[in-house]
Amino acid sequence: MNKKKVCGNPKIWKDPPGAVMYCPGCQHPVIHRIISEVLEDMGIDGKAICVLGVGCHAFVQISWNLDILSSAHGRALDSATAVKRLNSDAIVFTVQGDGDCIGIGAGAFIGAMVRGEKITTIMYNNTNYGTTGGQLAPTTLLGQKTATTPHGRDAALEGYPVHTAELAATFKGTAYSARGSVHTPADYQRTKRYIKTAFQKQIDGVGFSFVEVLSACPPNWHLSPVKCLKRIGEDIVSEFPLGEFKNEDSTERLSKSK
Amino acid sequence: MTERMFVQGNEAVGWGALYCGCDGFFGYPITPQNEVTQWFAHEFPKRGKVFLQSQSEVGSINMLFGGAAAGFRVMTSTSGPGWGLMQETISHCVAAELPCVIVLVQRGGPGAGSIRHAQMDYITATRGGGQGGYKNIVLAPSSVQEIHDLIQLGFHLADKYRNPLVILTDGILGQVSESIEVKTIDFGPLDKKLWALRGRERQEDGKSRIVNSAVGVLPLPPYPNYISWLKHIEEKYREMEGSELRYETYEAEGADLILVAYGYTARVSKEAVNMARAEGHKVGMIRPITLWPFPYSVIREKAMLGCKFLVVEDSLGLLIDDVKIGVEGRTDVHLVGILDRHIPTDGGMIMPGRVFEEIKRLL
Amino acid sequence: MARGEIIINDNNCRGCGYCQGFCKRGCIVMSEDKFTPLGYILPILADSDRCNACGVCGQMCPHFAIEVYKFIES
Repeated sequence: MNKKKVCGNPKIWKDPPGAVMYCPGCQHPVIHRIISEVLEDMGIDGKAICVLGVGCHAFVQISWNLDILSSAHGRALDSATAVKRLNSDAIVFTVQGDGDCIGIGAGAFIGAMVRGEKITTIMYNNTNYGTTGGQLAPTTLLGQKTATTPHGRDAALEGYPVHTAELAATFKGTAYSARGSVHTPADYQRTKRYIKTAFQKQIDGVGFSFVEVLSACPPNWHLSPVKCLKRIGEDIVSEFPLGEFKNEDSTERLSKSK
Repeated sequence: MTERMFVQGNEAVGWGALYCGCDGFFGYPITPQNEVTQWFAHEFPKRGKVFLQSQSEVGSINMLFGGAAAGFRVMTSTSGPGWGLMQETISHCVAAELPCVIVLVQRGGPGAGSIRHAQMDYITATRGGGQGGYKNIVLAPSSVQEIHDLIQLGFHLADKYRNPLVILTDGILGQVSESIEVKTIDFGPLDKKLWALRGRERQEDGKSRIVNSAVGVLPLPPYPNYISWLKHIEEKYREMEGSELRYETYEAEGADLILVAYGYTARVSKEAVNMARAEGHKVGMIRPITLWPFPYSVIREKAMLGCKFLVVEDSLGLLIDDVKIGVEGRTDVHLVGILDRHIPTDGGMIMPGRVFEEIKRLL
Repeated sequence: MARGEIIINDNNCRGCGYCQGFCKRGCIVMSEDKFTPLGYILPILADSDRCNACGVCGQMCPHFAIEVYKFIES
């Protein structure tokens, strides 16, 4: 009786052992795994250049056997723009957190979509600034307690959670925008399909492609890992619905899209 | 192949960049450097090179960060407020050892100040305006030809030391038109950029690379830790100081009074020296071409000979601090500055006649 | 009869409990008295016979601590 490995470290995962940098139950590495699988399935990891933001997601740089640029906080899309414009047959993608992409990085994010950069962005959304100890982020839910909203986010003071995937869909330069999660195995597969579609838009040269992925953050949500998944399924998905918000196949259709 | 043309200082930036193989320009509109951005918009795309107008100067400098990390020769140009926005990532470029060129066409400050010429960014250009107390070579042309030449030297030195580099001009030099000779200047061979990001499969050794500016959080080989990396950077600065100092002297032999100036005020000072020499006064000038590294030693030599110093700069007094460091208190150092302009509105300039008055007062 | 097996790398495991939650066949439970070298509670195989090598536990493990193997008739 011999056996075949059906699940283990992704091919492009370096030793030392796995995602040691992450808090128990943090789902960022699950998204790292999805991206690794997509890059390997599409055979594009060898010509990929990953531009990381600053945040928990950026710890992947010690594990991915890819060419990686760790950019200034909020500026991954500016740096990625130049990489793609100068080296257009590389596959250029940014991995950013919610704070990095739509908090401090909102200017770069909007700039890239206005220009329709042929870049793929994966935004990990754990509704807080995780690395720095769980502060309020633009995606923090109303009533959610954070290190800087000790009594819960209050709309009168801190405004409302931002819907990044829906926002991306409003730009003519955006070819694809979707939001997925990894709180169930089914969502894992759906998110993988979204990310594969996003990379395909870049390969086909249609325009900017964006996938937001919800991610559990036990220490900063003050919940056990399993309860975080429950919270995603109930509270977070009702605020941030999952699905595809834009999916265009050609630049001609982009210029006509509303 | 050399070509003669009559161009603005701001356009000479483009010709210099083109003739030394610049791959990409990323800029944002700001007076008084708009002609630079517009030149690249017209001239680069048709040559298959990248021109991109970003959404802000923060965008431009971070595009340089990306383009440089991918191994290309990239540059931007800006002025006052845009220069302020670029400080953080210029520091990241130093940390990640990424070569790029930033042209700073100085305008009046502080704040929005004025959209006309001035020389008020000397400190932030020569002392590292962003976080962490880094250094970068600063080249200061004082003619349209020299703008063309120093852009090419700038790219060479940026690549040689893997460090950002600043070309410091001003609104006057940018708008002035002069005839120049356009040609590729050869500064000698440079190492291949094996460290650049191309995609793992496209690396000669097939190994992936990381470019990162968090040198304390994630020290990259061959530096095992933060301090070993900082030691390497310190050695780089010493090397730059040791071998990249450039300055020009004019009529400085046996002079009783030495003027020190760069950029447009150096042209004004040269005129004033000629006026003084015509009346038999022993006056000379030192013109730093690199503002960092700064020519302290030649200033110290002249101070030890008892020369007096007159700094001519279009600011409240920034370059004067470096001259005082060189002089080390041996003699007095005077200033003709922005308050000595010929008219009080922002179009005012420091005129040769005013400098000549000061020379006569001091002698 | 088990159609596969899993190996848990206790250096990586952080005791988050996802594998227990996601295993549809209840093959994995968090132990009461076994810990990883870093002191996290270690999951153990409660009923390895029911494992059909679906791989979900490995896929959903945030710490890349589980390898899943499928048995193949040689």
